[in-house]
Amino acid sequence: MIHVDDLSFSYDQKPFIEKLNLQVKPGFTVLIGPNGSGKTTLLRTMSGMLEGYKGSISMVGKNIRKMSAIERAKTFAVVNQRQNFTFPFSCLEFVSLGRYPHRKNMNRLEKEDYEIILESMRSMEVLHFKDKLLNEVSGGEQQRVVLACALAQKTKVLLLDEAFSALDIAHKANVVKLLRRRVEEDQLSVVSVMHDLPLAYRYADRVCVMQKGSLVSHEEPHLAMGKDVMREVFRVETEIIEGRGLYINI
Amino acid sequence: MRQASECSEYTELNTLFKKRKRCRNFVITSFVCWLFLMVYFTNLGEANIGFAQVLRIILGKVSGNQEWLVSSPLGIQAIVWDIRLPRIITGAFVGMGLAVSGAVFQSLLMNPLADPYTIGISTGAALGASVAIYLTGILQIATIPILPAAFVGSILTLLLVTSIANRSRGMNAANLIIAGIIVSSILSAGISFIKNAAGEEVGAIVFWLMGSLASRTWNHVLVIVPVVILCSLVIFRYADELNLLGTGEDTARGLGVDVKRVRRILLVAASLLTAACVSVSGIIGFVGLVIPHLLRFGFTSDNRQLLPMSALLGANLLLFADNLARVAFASAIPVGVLTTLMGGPFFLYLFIRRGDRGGEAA
Repeated sequence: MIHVDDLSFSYDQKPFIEKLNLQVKPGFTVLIGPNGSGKTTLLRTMSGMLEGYKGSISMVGKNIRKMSAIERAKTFAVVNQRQNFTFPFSCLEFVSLGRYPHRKNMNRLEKEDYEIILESMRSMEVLHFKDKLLNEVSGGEQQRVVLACALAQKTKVLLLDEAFSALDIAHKANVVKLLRRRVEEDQLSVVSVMHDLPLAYRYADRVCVMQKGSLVSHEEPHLAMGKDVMREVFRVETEIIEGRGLYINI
Repeated sequence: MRQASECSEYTELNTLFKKRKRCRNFVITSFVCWLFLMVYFTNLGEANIGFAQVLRIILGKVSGNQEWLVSSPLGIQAIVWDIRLPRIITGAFVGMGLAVSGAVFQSLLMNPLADPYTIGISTGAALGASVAIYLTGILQIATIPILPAAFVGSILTLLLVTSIANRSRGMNAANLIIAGIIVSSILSAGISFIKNAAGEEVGAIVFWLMGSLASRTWNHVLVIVPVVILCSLVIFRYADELNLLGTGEDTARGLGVDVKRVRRILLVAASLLTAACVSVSGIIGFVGLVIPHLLRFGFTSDNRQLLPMSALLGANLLLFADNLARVAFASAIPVGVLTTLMGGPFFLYLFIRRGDRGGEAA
């Protein structure tokens, strides 16, 4: 689904990511690593937000450099780390922006678009406050609205950069569960940067561990998040308890 | 079961449209109000003409039918057709242009407190006009018309500001604002220099800078009307993209907007709009800032509704203010002073009220 071949990226002529290769299959892939390890840079190059990289990135069989802006938005949805809510859009208005790449007919939303918007909002449990303004709802609710907007794009690939960080634990688990369901039902490929290691272990299909701009491992969680790797990369002691999950000893 | 789900879906869709209906009603009411005010204000003034006669003169002149005009003496026809109407049409379109370009600049610069003058286009126009007044009236070297000089001044400023913003890591909102402030302060110094050099004749420059619609002619109408209509149509076409740009560059790009191209188109259209408005009327403050801001909080941030609403409310507000300035005050104070006098305290009230409610005072 996603092919990253020989990707190199430099900040101010200092090499940051060098010759990185990654193949992402349909499923829920989590990108973990300490701060400054290159997760966001990798995700932003994959989403075409950062230009000036070397190598090639293709999504659903097509090089992203050869895609128009609209084609990209129809192929993959991006949720960025920081969102801007300068203007008081209502939650419903914001989610309906997700249908922008699919609009025909003088940019008018059709019945089908409304159905997709409502379905996305319902699935992220934000429909009950649809008329509230975005700057009036909590940070966690804002993140769910942004996720609903990405789902309304109806793409096969979702790239999420810390999209769950402001959610409380119940909503975080709930949203990840929901995304997993969408992944299975619609054969989606989700790549998500996450800091919550136990949650990543519990719900990811595959985990990519990054350190200093390179990929340390890319496997199923129980293989990728072994004790030794965690100690080396995060400098924390972890324990995997059979049938219960990953525990961090702080 | 199916009926029940369809019913709830219908209610949901219905509430979606409720807000739009409110906006549509606002647009229709404002449009009717605008047409009425145009005729009503043409009727107001020192010479007592009468509503029916004004209508007859306008209809007669527009249709070319002499029968409508027979009953009105030539002097009255001149007051209505050559003095009052051009001023009123210019005022309406300037208000429209300033409010629309204000809404665009606020979204483009991602700053709800931006206005058509934030990136210094008005200062460029002011410098152009000052140079024209100085060369014509004071040095008497040549007769330079103010309108084209102001227009050229603002377009040159736009080019300068965008090329400076482009040089430092791309033309984003912050770079545009900084480049605008730098250029604007340099040009302001230039205006001060000319004012100083003008000596006792400084009055003409100061009066122009204050913003006025007095003695506007059909020439002004011919400049402002086509520019406002064309630029507004271009801007309305990109209302969706403007919504997306207002949510941030990354989000807009992620949703498929060709950010560079769309930003350039909108910047040029909104700047041309501002340049035309400032060239015909001088600097009229607060319309471009307050109107979109007010409608955004009262109705919606969706530019598809916000832009037409801003256009009509801007037109009505400036019509009202200019005619208040013309009729209520014996010495006909410049409308720019009046809009700032009315808009300033009103904006302060909004600012304090929002602060009291614990919201962001933006």
